[in-house]
Amino acid sequence: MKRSLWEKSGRYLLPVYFVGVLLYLLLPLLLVIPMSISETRYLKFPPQGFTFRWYQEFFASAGWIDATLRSVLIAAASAVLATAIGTAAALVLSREGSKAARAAGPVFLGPQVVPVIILALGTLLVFSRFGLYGSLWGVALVHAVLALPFVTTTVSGALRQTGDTLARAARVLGARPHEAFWHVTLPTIRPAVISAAVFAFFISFDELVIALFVMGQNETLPMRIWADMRHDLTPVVAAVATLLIVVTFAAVFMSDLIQRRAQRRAG
Amino acid sequence: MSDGVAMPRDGKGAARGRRAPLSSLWLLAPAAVLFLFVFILPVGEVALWSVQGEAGLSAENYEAALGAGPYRTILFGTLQLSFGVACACILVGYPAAYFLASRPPRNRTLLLLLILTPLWVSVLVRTFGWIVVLGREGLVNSMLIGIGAVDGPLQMLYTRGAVYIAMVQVLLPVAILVMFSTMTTINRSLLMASRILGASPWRGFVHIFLPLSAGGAVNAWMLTFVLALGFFITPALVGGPKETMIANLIATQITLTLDWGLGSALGMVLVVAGFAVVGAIALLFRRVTGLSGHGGSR
Repeated sequence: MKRSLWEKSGRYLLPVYFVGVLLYLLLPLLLVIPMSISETRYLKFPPQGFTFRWYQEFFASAGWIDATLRSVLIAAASAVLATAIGTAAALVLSREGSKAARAAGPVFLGPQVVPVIILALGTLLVFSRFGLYGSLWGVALVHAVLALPFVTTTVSGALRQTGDTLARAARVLGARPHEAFWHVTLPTIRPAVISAAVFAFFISFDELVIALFVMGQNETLPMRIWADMRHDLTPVVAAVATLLIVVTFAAVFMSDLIQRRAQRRAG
Repeated sequence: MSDGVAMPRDGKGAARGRRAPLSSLWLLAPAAVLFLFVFILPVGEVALWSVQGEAGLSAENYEAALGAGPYRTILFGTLQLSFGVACACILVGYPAAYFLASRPPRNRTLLLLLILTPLWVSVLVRTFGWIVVLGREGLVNSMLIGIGAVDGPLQMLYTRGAVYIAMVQVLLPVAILVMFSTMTTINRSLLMASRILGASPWRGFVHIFLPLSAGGAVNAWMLTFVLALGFFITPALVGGPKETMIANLIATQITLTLDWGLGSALGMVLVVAGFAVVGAIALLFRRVTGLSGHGGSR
């Protein structure tokens, strides 16, 4: 009877289990949303009444808005930098059999394996030595390093998929290397580059630990949320968290849509 | 676009153009520079600070970090907690990855997207969600009191259990993704062949699928373990003083006691301990199965 039990579990138990895992992953996130429109000053479930007061408090507070704008600026700079540098590196890394690619590939994974706290500490030591403490551009550079592995893997994946036949053809027909890149290669990998940029943006936008170590008075949004969560945990955090969830989900689904549409067009 | 040298039109030149020309290696230069100054330099600086004493080179920071006392307790606590979290991620994630890999590719994409979306939401927001669920007047307590299971609210936040639940939730998508990608490379016709030869589906799973997916599970374990070692936000927000991890201790050394040398030594110990455990596991796995973590699926 083992056989029928196994088959039954495949048909019913596994899907139910999978839904359970999805709920575990997503439910705590979704529960944040009703908390942001609850009238009580402290977190109480189920939410009481209905109000937009916490959103108004967020948008009316100079502290919150300054922190948000600062984070947007850092994340945008970091995303542009990581995408440009990462795409250039991916052009080399995606070439099969390239010695440089084989040597450099694992090195770029470094920031994913070394705990962020070490990088945060090292950044603080370096920044204090060079007088960069509190520098927006400095922290954007460090965030770009964190995002670099994501950019190179995403873009070199796309490059390997499309191959370089067309670019070679363009070169044979007399295009210069940069012309072949702009007019032939880039259009085919554009969806991957866009989604890499989106992810690079969010890696920086959500990063707390490094910012906490080196930004000092120049509070970023995650630093502000962190301070609020540690001290008074107001429902404003729920409102900010809701905004973040909505923006993140929208960006992830949009970049997925762009990628899928491109795949469909490619056949 | 892959070569920076103009490709001559005769056959011999084309053959040369096929090989990787050196000039376009310069495209790696910006990444290498960024890496050198923003990754290697800071990590090197931590290593340097860790061996600096009052008078030149010294091991005093390491003695303080590793000698008997609260720091060593926290170090072992961190290793233990990360070990448990990584194991939980594999146990919870394996069946989910198996289910995902057995779906037809068409609806697989959407399910995978749902699993991975939380990865892109800030860990702060995800931890906040657990405060809503596990808090004194949170979801679980209000439900338990509602059905009359308990008289007063249970203390769930600021416990080891809360740290486990929240950390596994943060790391689970990573574990599922790694195991899933190994599982999709497994040749399913092997399972079919075993069925034709009379093996039960269960037997086919245990003797074919499980060994072939073990490499992915080991890789997932190592990755989640290393990531868990560096956790900072979750233990600080939903754990009690007993759940203090090395990262929190480093932050305290840096911001409050201003002992940068000791903080650096603790950081180095964390990295070395992480690599040591991962190396030992990888070696053990290769010794036991004769497979490398990556080759297991072929």
